[in-house]
Amino acid sequence: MRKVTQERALAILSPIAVLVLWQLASDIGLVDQRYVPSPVAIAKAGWSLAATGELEKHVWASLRRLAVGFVLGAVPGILLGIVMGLSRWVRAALDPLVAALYPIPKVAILPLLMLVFGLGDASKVAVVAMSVLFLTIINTTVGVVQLEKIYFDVARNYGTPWYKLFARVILPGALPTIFAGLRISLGVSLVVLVSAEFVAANSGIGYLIWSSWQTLVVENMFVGIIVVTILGVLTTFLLHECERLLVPWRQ
Amino acid sequence: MRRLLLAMLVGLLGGPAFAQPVKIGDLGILADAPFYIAIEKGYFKEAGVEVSLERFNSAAQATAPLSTDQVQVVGGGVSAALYNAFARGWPVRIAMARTRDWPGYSSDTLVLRNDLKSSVTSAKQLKGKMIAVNTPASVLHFMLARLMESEGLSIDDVSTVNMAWPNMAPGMETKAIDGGMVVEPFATQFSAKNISFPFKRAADFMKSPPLEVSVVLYSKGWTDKNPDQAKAFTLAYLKGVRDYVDAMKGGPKRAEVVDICVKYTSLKDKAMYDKMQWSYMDPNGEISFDGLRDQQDWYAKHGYVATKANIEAMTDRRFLDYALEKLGRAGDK
Repeated sequence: MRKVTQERALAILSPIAVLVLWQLASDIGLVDQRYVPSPVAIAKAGWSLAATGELEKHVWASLRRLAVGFVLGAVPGILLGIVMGLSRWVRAALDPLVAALYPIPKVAILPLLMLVFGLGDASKVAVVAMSVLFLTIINTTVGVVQLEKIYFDVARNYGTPWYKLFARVILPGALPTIFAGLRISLGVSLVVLVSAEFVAANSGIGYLIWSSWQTLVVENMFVGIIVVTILGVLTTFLLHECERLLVPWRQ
Repeated sequence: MRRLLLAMLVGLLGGPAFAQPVKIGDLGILADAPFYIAIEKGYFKEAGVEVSLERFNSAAQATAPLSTDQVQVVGGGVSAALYNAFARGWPVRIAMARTRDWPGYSSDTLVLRNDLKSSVTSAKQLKGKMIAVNTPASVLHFMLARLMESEGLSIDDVSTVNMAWPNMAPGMETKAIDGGMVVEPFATQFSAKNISFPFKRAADFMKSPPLEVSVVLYSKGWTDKNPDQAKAFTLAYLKGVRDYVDAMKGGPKRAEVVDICVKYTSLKDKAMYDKMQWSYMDPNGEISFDGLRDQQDWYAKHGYVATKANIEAMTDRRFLDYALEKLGRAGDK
């Protein structure tokens, strides 16, 4: 447990060290504050954005889209991935489709999604779900496929029913890989969401970053960027804690 | 001494009189026409200035490299970004006016869906409508606000959504939006496709001061180091402006200017040049300071600009004055 505490302390200290160095570089003029504001100036801008309630509005808009999109992409992704991992036939049928659709830059089809889902949140949720779906399918499939065949043989010899096979062998065996996939998907979905909010939105962190740069309010742009990093860290931490609970043997 | 000899040799050989080429940040739009005219008709060459073009997606994106002298000249849209760049102390200066809206030459337009033609006849009836804007806190956003204010309403009485100009057509067709703030050729193209109609052009209701749309910006780093090159550049550029004004009014140079624009801008359909309204350019490059202040006040009032800049102090008209002295003032307005 002490090791965990030390790890966490280190994880908090390293970004603080970066901020202190950045502030020092700004103070001695190594960094031009007209272009890259100092952490203190950014914190002040962040404070005033928070005080007016604007920051909260943008954060909630992004979090809502991220959460709904992530679940809508991950749940079918895991289910499809398991089926593909178990059935050679399904895998043969769907693999080329996944391979073809996965590399499409999801933001590129955003205008199309906007036609289908409208200008509101639905198009942004759809773009997040799509980017999560394929990554989750690929990782889950790999997680299931790489399970040792002997586990299945043993289970079959003992006459294990299918639901027990699923709960005791397939899911626990594939979970670490599934979680690795979810972690990557989370990062990617944040990137995709912010880019989508650049293009067409009235709220959200991406909108805050884009509109601040368009009006050259550089401090607010940095507030947005830092909020994205914080969201990234927090959501990854949350996923990590879920992993600790669900896959304790990995620790 | 050796450098002087080299310079004389270069001069004799007819090369550029200034060592450094001038990088122009352009957008490939009609407002950039004087740059293209001065290139094609050899005005820059005559002035001994070598130029190259650097394409940007928006004027706001070009402002940062302008401030670091990576590009020396940019046609800058008037927006909160411009005033904030001044307030941040970015070394950029207004050299002269560029485009504005003038009766008969008004490119900035609020277009509305065709099916609203009978139900929306005044700005009052825009209340609650969804209007798309390409960039927040830019000239078209300001124009929409002024339109609402002209009938006692405010910008908060309409819903706005940010959308690129080409996306506004499907937006109106699917009735996701009721209208859009656009420039030419979109206003004319959307009408031709029976999607929308021009509801109001800026010059219909913004006369004094007019809607100042863009200005020519110079990098201060460049004008400090090379003031003579900046003067020579401005002289050549102003000749390009005069040709544009002639073409804009249907003068003898129109066909030639249109050919140049077809070559350089993204508007390749020659017939469109006769159908749409061109943006107005002042043949003497005179800035409407009232127009610029009016816009800055609005951005400041709505929180887009935190610190107001002294616009006169951000203007360096030495180069324009030099060019006007050489070319003489054009008499008409």
